[in-house]
Amino acid sequence: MTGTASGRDLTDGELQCKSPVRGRLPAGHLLLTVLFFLLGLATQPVAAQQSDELLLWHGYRGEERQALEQLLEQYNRSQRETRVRALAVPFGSFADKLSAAVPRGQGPDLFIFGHDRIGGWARAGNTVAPVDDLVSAETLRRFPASLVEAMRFEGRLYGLPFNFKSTALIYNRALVESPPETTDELVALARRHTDRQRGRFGLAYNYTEPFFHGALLNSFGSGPFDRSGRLALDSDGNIRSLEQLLGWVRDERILPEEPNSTLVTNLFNQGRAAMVISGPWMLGEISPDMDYGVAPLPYNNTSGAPLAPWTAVEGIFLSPWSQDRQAAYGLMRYLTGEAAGLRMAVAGGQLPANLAVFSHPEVMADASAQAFRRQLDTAVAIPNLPQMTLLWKPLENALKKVVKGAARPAEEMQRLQGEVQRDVAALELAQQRSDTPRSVPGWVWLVIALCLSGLAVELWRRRQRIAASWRTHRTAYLYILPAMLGMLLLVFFPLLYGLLLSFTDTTLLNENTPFATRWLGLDNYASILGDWNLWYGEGDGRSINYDNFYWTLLVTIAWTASNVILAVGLALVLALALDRPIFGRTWFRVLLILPWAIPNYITALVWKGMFHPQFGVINQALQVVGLAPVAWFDSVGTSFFTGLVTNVWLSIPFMMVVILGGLQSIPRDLYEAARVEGASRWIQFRRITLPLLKPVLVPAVILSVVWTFNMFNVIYLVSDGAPAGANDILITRAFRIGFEKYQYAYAAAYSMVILVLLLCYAMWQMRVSRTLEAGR
Amino acid sequence: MSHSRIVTDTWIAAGKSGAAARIKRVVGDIFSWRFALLLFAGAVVVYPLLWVVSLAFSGQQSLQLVALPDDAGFWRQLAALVPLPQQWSLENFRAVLTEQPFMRWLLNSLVVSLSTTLVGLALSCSAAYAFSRFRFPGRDRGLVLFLISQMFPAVLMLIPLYVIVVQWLGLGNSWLGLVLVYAITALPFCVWMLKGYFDTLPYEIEESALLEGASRLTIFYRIILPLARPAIAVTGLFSFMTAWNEFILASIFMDDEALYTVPVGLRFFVSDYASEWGYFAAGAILVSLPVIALFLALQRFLVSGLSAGAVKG
Repeated sequence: MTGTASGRDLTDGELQCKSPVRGRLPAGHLLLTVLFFLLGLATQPVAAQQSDELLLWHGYRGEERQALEQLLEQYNRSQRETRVRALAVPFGSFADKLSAAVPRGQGPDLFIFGHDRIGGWARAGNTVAPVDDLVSAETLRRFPASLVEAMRFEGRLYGLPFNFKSTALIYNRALVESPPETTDELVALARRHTDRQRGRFGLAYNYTEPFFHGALLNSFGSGPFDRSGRLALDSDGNIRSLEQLLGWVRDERILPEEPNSTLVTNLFNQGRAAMVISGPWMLGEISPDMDYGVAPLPYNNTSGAPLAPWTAVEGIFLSPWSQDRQAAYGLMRYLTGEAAGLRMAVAGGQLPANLAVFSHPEVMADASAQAFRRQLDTAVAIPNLPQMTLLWKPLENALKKVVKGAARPAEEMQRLQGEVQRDVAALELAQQRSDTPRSVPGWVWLVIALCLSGLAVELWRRRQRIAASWRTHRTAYLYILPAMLGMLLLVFFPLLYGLLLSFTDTTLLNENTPFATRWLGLDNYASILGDWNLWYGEGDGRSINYDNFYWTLLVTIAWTASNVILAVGLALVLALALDRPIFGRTWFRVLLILPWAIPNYITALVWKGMFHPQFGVINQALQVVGLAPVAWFDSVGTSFFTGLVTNVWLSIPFMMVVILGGLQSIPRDLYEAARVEGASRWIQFRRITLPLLKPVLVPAVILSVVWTFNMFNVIYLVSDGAPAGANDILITRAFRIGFEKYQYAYAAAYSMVILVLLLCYAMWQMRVSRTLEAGR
Repeated sequence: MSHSRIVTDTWIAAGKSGAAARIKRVVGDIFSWRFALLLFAGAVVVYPLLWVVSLAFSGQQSLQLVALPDDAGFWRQLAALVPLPQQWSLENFRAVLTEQPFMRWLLNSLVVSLSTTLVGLALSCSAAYAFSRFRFPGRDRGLVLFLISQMFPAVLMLIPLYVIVVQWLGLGNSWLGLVLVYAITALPFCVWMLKGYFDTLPYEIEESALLEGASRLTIFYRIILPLARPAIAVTGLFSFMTAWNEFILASIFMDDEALYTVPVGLRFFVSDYASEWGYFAAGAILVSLPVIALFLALQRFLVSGLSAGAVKG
């Protein structure tokens, strides 16, 4: 029992003594009920997997999914040995599902996925099996050499190419008679069709997305890596590609601001974009009454080579755990055959890697497919090196900075080269280290042993007090036990895993090696907390280093404080307005909880669209009332504001419902008594409402601080840390380190720091509210 | 006769004055600052949702961009900012409901979410009762421990959760695993909120009940739980929502499309290349209907709550 035993505690103790036997009942009873219930749930039918069944995971939907399923059905009918079962996985979780299941010996026999992850998978091991021994030279002849090469990593073949995707030029025939042959023609044509006042553009594409910038990048040289596979972002050609893009955006002004794929499709469908650069996935979204054409991208006069877009190859990959490799390979052969390819092309709208399909009369008639096929001749497969996966996000940030004029191409590419090189080095260092034998150092075992023995000694010394406390408080402990058991299993174990991970140097490349060989000690924590590189550059040119831990911490605190204060304040006002009867009260109550009811994924994206600098409603409304539009995502403050507005909008309903419930627990006659004594509304609020709301409000505030501190979705979806990561909070930073830089251990250490910060806050907050309680 | 006439007269007068009073009250309500505030808040809440609604009913996959008429007056320009589809169509809803086993998934989600609510409430009510009514060693630390689960980023829990639920417990591809994880995820909130509400309930009722020989269990079921109805409604709604909207664990644990929950089904419409936002919006609206219905059903509990008399015991 704690030292500050109040009168309440004593009565409790007394009451407890009266019914020592009954005490066990309630918790046990509840536990049993729940257990029975769970058992009932566990007996639900689970589709049993047959042993000779081949499992195939894919991310297709719509037409292409139907085409694939028809093919598989046909395959199942055509032979008796193997049955194939397909599972469609949504794109958003496919990569996570693969990396959770496959390295642990679970998951499918085969899966269809983009080829650009091959390098990472192959280095990490246990995710994808090489198929050199299975594939005959005759089968390989089905595909063009470039697509087979895309499936190769360090001399070994991983899987077969199934379909490919690249961008090309899609143009509105009503505005553009014949597609441009050169970029000079392209720019001249685009200039004629651009009328920025009326929101019309000659050309639109997602130019800040590295996949789309690939077309320019590759036309100047070897792309992000030089011929020997070394990172060369600051090469002359790459800088010139950025300069050319900058010319299109800022000098010719033929491109819209803040492009994204929805905007590009929209502009094209409304005839407000004469030409767009996009891929076959867009064709299904072009409105049916639009007369459009597809052509390969033009020749680039500035570089003296054609624009060469990146190709993404969808490969069929074999799991290393597949029981029947021959059967799996049989399916791979079937799916990449000519008949299957024809079905995928005609019914599924795909571009099969088996090029024989394109000379089939049905596909010959499809001018768009033929145009994408011609584009393949100049296109370049995305490098499948593991380093490539580190490049996307930093390159995107750099592109955004350059087109907004916040950085010059040459300097930005040099900076980027340094940044990515550091990330690559961190990954490679960890892998090299895991090659040398390592083990957990002796002092760690010593510390663990000391802690454990200390704990044991302490328990032994206090055994009598613990036993006594168990006897006295058995009811209380039994009430809590079921919840605690659940927490232990599903919260504290994962936490321990995270803690252990944070003492290692685990990355994408060595995650499947034995734990001891990855041991690193406290280095991750030292490098997070010792990150004092607050500035970039020197003198006048220096700017804040937004990747810095302490800057991120500052932003996180500002973000949390402003959100919680606004949300609680506004929710309190609305709850008070709704607490007493008013005309239409029920309707308002339902209306105001709507943001909570609709999945926040879509509403966050709606808010992002509303803040679009050129086409967003907010800027248009500002213009209607005669104000200047704001470039919301260009500066730290305005970008912070977009997240703040969205998050407050999202969190008010919940707070309001909690406070409404709390207001109901306040006895009405207290107000009557106060009125009789002549207390004003304000006094009533201060003396009755607030104090009596506190038991409900304090936990709600603590929880919403914790949630807002870790509010990933809103930051990620609305501002995405714009500009250049300045508005990232700790959790989005941890995510980027873990899933964009693939330094899992460093991300775990980051998360542990978040945990400790929040724990300190919770302790402090509880102490404060306890002292307030005592003072009352 | 005269007697009855007098009675009817007063009746009519009372009725008239009643109706008049009601109209007067409604008018008074409408011109009060509270009403203005609620109206404004309602407009702010509804406007972004209108985009979702009109996208869902447009029959297309992306909305027309707003085009301000050049030479129109202020009000016409302002009216152009209201998102309305060019033509109304139920095509998106039809596609969502027929192209995928959407109703099946909705049913799965209902089972999972209701089970989560039940399990979560059972675990949290008993724990919160102990935290509120007993003083025992480790009480404060225990409360903070419950919070910890909310402090660690969920994305990093993915792999260890997969190891526990799928590999150790063998609950892969079963709703039970999902229900357990969701219930535990919602637990800290439920325990903390319920403890807060239990704290506001006066102690005296229990004391007298105990003196009269009632057991703890009876007190818990017969007195505390009925009194805490508003809190149970709020926490129940919260547990339900936790399970209702979760997507990533559901799609990682389930290996059978017939067992997917509805958020997983919704995410099929969004991919890196092309996203069918019209389908997504229609699906999102369908998904939020049960939540709205649930809230309407729970309103009664949220509002009726405690009468002053019961509290004083």
